[in-house]
Amino acid sequence: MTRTPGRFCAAALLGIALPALPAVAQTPPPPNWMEQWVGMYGSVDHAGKNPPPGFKILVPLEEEDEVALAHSQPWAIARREATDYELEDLAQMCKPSGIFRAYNVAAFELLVSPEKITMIGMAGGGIHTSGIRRIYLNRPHLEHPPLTFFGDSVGHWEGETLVVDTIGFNDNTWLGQDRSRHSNALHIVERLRFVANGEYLEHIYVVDDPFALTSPYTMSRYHKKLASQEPVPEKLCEDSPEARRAWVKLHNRAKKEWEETRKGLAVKPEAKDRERQ
Amino acid sequence: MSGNNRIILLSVLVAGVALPVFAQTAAGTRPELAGPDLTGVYQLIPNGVTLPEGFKNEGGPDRVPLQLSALATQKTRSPKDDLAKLCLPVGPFRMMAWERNKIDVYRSPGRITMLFENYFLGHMRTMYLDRPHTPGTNWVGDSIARWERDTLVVDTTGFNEYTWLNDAGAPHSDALHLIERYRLVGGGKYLEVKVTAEDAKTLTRAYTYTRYYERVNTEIQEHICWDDVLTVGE
Repeated sequence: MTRTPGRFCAAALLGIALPALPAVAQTPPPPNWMEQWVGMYGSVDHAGKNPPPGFKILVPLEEEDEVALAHSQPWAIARREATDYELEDLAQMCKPSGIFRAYNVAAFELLVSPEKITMIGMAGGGIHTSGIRRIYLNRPHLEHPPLTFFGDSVGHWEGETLVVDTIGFNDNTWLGQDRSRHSNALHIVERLRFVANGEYLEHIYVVDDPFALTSPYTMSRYHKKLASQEPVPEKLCEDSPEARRAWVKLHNRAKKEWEETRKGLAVKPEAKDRERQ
Repeated sequence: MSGNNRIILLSVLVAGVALPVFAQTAAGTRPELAGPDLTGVYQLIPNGVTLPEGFKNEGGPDRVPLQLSALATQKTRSPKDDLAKLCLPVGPFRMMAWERNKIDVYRSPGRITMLFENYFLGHMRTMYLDRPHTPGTNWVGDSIARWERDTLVVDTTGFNEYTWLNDAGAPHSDALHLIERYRLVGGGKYLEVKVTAEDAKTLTRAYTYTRYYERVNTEIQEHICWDDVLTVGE
């Protein structure tokens, strides 16, 4: 679609922001990328926790929280310590548990369309806890993205590598398996590409959060591409209405108790605390 | 008939038989490619609206013709037990007519996948083009599909006992069988969805409703059912 001068002026007059060009070497999608990327992929565990020969897993699952901790600002560390696992575990709340918990412990499926790549996680409560994440290929970031569990993900191609930039996270998810906190300034850049003769999808994450982390850090995972006949298992958080009702009662009661306990412990920040912030 | 005409007739007959066979062979293990590409995001049009092309939604789950025994069962059910209030899947017969339903359709080797903006109520439907029905029951049933020219015909059985046929609690049995027909109409602008329910144990006859979904460019939004439902199950 050509941008005629008249149309450009009209847009400027109306104050409509035209999409900014990314500052990197964006290339057109690789030919037949949809055919190659669609399918099922194993988690690190599924692939036997071993990367393909010549590749290294950076920050494996069991080191995630330790590394996050080493990079966390003091308030984020304190927030982690104040986090009650049982009550704030998103997986137990039947809510999406976020990028770091969705694809590391079970297989996932990639569905594709010309406009987006959709990741469907299968760990835990299936799409409820591992979520459905959409990476848009046809636009830049929304100017005011709603804060969500998976954020606003936009991808572009650099040769054969898909570069995904994500912002707009809510602060409910964790950076690892055990309560490492972040803020809604979390910014993740992922680079995905096929390695080892196209058998593995390499997934490199650069995790940054100017508000919660002292500096960014890099993680990597290798997901084996699985035979496409493998069926997508159906999973819910509970198997029956009775189980769901029972869980809701339990959860509401526990939440009430915890809120009562917190009231008693609430401490107002002192002047010196405010200075540090 | 002259010799030439006989040859022409024979050629036409052979082509008529051979062409569909060739199309199937070309698709091979990629049966999802043997019909139009339904990939896209679609929004259900409201009831009572007639589209410029003359399409409008017809019928609905509330009109299923129930047997007397089924009607009696329905009367014992309370709206507070509606699965929708528990953020559990309501089943495809209700979901495809669910007000403001927005779906996200993909195709991949051997299947068509349907995601829902309200994934708590709609869950996820995988329609297999490359295998027969498998045993077992679940919330959205087991769906297998085939192409009839430009129409995707989806056959679903294997529903669990928890779902209802409508908001009033109309029951279905283990014999519930859905046949859905999906095709693009209006020059590709709309997805026409015809849903037929058969259930020899609860319905007096097969019942069909029709819905139209508009292809849209808007995105699927995150929608957490729990945030809307305050006192779930109480």
